[in-house]
Amino acid sequence: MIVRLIGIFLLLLNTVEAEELALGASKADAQATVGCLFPMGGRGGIYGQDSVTGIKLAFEHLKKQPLPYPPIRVLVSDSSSKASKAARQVRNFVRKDGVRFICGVVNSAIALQVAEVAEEEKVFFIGTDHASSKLTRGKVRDYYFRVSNNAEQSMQAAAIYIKKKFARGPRAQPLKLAYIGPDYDYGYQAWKDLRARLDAEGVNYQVETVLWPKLYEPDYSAYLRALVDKKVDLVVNALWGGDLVAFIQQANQTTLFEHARFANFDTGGNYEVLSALGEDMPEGLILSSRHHNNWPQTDYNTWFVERFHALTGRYPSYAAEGAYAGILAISEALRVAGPEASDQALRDALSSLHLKLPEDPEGFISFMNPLNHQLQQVIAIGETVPDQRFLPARMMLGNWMIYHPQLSNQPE
Amino acid sequence: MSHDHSVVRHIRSQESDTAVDVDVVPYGTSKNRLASKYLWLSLLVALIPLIGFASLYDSYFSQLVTRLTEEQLATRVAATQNEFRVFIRERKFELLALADQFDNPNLFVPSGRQKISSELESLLRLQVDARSVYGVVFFDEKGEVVWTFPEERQAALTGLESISEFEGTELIGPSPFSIEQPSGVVLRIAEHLAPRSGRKGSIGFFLRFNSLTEILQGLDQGTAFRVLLQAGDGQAYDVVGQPVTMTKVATQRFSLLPGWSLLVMQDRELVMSPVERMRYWLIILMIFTVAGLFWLHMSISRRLNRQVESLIDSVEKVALGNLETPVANVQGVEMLRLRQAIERMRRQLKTFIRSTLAIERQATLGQLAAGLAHDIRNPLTTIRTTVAALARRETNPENKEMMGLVEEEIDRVNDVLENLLNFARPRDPLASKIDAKELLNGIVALVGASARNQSIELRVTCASSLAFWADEGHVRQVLMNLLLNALEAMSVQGRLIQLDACQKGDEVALSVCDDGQGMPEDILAHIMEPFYTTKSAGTGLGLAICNTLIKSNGGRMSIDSIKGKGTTVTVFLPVAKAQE
Repeated sequence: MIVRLIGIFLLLLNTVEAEELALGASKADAQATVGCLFPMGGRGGIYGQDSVTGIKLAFEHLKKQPLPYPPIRVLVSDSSSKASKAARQVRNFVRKDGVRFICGVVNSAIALQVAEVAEEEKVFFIGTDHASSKLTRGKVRDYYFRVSNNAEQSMQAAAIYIKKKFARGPRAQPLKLAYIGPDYDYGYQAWKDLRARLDAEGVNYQVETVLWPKLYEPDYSAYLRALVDKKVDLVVNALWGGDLVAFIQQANQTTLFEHARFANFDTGGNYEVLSALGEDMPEGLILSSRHHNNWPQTDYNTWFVERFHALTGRYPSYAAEGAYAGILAISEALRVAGPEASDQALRDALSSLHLKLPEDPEGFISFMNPLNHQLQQVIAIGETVPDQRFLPARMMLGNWMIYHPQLSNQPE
Repeated sequence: MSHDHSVVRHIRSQESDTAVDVDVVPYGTSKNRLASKYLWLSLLVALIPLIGFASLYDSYFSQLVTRLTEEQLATRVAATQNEFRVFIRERKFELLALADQFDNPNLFVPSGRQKISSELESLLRLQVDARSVYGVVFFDEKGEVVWTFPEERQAALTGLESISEFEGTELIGPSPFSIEQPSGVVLRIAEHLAPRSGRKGSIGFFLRFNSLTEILQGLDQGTAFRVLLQAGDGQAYDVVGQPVTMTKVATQRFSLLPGWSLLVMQDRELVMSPVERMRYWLIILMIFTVAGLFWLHMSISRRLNRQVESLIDSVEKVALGNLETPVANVQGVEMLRLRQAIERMRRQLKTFIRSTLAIERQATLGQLAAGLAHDIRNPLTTIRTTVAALARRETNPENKEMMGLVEEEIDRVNDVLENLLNFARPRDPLASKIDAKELLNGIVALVGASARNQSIELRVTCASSLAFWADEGHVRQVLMNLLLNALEAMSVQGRLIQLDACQKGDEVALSVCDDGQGMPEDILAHIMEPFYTTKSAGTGLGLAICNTLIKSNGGRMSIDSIKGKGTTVTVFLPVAKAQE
């Protein structure tokens, strides 16, 4: 009976999975096929929708380039934020559609399992939005490359930021710190990375509490009560997307922001969060993101943001630039190594990748670290300030602190 | 008797003294009165805490009502107990379903992970998609962990010690609290480890511990009481999985599973603390009320005492004869009125005593003068006539000179008697219109020679048409007296005597101003008194007679003097109007 139920369930899943979205070249013309996994509905649905537009913008960009990029076909499938489904979709992509590249995945826990399957199936997994540093730590994975900053890089910048902004003398009371992160791998890794970097920077801090709400937690009242009770100096939050929006909305009803500074160094500055909160976004929160609509103010970033707005009528979340970077990375690797290149040749091309992306400030080009397959990018941390240019967001980030991959600290 | 010889630069006539107007302070409305102010303030100080008291009491009452509603607690605890057990049972059924699929004994060995088919792996992935399940744990027949899915979860299983049995399952853990990662508990099927089951191992879930603590969230009010989960390790955890130190006594304990309990804390901080804080504030308020009232009473009492004491001192000074010192200033309508009454009394008493003394002195002098005139003047006349006759017959020049001296001395005695009579019974004035300039020039002409001998300049300043109404002989006598006094005073220092005449309102002011040696204040205070003199050969009647003569002409006289700078004597007489 149970086996039959599981069978029906899997059949239903396959039916849903059949509704894939195809972008780019036709099946006949394509010299390579990319399978992308994004959540297309529910709380994380905006990531998938923005990623699809990001992919379209990547194709637009490639068409304008003088270099010959091999035509590629992109299949987008809804992962529904389920690891089991995503793993199955990867196998389907490989076996049915003959994809050579897997792209996307927002959730780090899902990404871990997708990476395992990709490794087994020997297809390249180009990570875009997930940020757990676990995939780029330890033994280098042959088939995994990430084209956006991971939590470790964000936390490295965060530690320098904290050291500068919350300076404590050796004899002073330590910085009272609280951490609240999602109860899965991304939350664990971000916290681990932050502590490691704070220790490395010699920051005098004391952990008052660590809280682990589950992903998609609807009610943060108990967590907020615990944070308010602790009377900390700084609350580091690693929630993202709708969870962060819900947390800030509920925190606005408490005294948390009155007696503690609040920071989210990896995803808090995502436009999705700023726009969802609108007037509910408090001023003075310390946030960052993997891509900002108002920084850097280069022609390239302006084109990206405005073109996105022209296509969709709204401004992009960082997922758009993640998917955009993923498609550019795959195209560049195929151009360099050739569509028929061996896995090793493609790996070499990806390992030495240099990509000019919208988030790169003037004079900087994102580059791949061949030792861990992690793209190196500039990180900008800012504070929320009133800014009406990107409605419905009423607050955007300002008062920037800029951190290059070499970790030189450059206040703008 | 102590006399205050403070500066009396302007001696007023008796009439002007009595005519001094004292500023009348209005009775004031009732709220300006000191007593009213005191009452209002007392009321205010008492009312504010009272309102606060009432509000806090009301709030306290509301809390009491909330506590009464805790009767519903039992029902909600029963629901939470059931929800907790249902959660475990559901996981148990999922485990049993999963165990049916993993019935191959070869899977319960360390290499079992590599032996599972992709369908079974999909099943495992499906299982760990659930937010409450971190992973699936495979145990061998001894109950030891052989492998986990996902693999990285195996490390988190260390440190799991306490085992609680519940309906054929075992709940192991939770893992020790750490800031690294959240705690977890393992739920495994105990039956499959029994030898009679015929299985080679068992399956368990590595559950999110916070999924268990969160079940309590519906019960946790955060205000009236706190709900904790006492786990199998004996440690209490709050609804977000933070360990809580058990320093407080749990009023109620409800069993969830063997070894696992639900603790409903009557937290002093959460329940009693607000009440106690309220009581604390009530006490503080009461103390402040009492202290405020006390302070107010003390302050007002001290102030009243100070003012009354000041008035008593002033009255005592008057009683002791010091009529010169004004009554000290006080505040408050009633006290000010009292002060004014005392001040008025002092002034009237001073005027009365002065005038009485002057009348008595003049009467005595009158009698004395009359007696002297009768008893001394007639014999003196006889003596002088006799001496004059003898002197004419005397041929011895020495005797003749001595008799001349006797005549001069008799004349001097006569002069003294004449002065006395003038002072005691001055001649009635024969008022006429006097041209001031003419008068002053005439007097200067008389005294000019003496002044020149002393190298003193006499200067007159007077408007040409200025006239006043008085007895010319009296005024001339007074001005002469004043000029001669000035010349005497300038024997040591001074070069100028200024005679001025000017109109001041209805009066003409005639002043004699010298830059001589002046007088100290103590002399100035008595200079107008009869027989008061600083000269060795003086009678002390000059200024007294001047004053009497001026007063008899309806005028007044004032003396200003600064020691070392000079003296100014001013005579005020009624101005002669045009038709007069």
